[in-house]
Amino acid sequence: MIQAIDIPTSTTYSDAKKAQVFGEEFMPHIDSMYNFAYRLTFDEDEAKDLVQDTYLKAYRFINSFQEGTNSKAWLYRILKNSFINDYRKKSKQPSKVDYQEVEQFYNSEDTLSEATTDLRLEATKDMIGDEITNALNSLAIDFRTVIILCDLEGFTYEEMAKILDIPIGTVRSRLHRARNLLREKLSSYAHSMGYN
Amino acid sequence: MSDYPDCRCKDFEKCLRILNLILDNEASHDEESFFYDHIEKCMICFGHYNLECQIRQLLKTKVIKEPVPSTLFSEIKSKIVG
Repeated sequence: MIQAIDIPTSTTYSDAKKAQVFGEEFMPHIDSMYNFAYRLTFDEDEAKDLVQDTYLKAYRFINSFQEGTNSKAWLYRILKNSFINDYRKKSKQPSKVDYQEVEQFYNSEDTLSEATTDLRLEATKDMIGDEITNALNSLAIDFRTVIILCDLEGFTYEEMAKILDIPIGTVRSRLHRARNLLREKLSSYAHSMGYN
Repeated sequence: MSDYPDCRCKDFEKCLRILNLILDNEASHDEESFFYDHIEKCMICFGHYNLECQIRQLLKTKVIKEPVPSTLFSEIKSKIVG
């Protein structure tokens, strides 16, 4: 549940309680937050700034966080919004979802047939971290993001929908498309390793 | 050569949709039952199931993790306190 990011609630924490919530609920996620930020920006300094901004915002708005709800999803949503509002603007990248106009296409059942691939199971067994990481990193940001949230961080579709501000159906279709693209990338690596 | 050169499973699209839901822990009980019954009889979907499991496993275990800068934690702390 990520109720705290659904409905703005106000809990007035004392300074001591704020420090406790911040230290016990927010800071343990710094590792995955930094990795998410790095995979969005591909720049160590920007990732560091993005995480720092996220934590400062989280502290500033801590009264809208309800203890016991999903702090990780709450922080991820702040980080994602900071990235879209601040960092994408700075780097003059589009601030809106890149693939909105073709999202309807992804929702189409027709795309399911794309899933057939010539990637073989044996080929994937020989793959190393670099190849997997490069394949993931080469995906367009919206596709990369859903794979990270789902497969690396284990968020549910509902949590992802709330973090990304998109309907669950869009999460599902975007994931489907992202996985097809990832499989294609891995397939290319497999060919380069001599699997034909 | 592909493992699935010519998909002849008549339920392939449905299976693939359910496969993703199963691996994401989002499938209903009925969908799970349908799929697991189906892959006992369909090698195409069984192969695809194994491949998808393997890709998920690779993502979970082999994607390189970036080390968090050693100063980040203390910098955040100092800005909050200070």
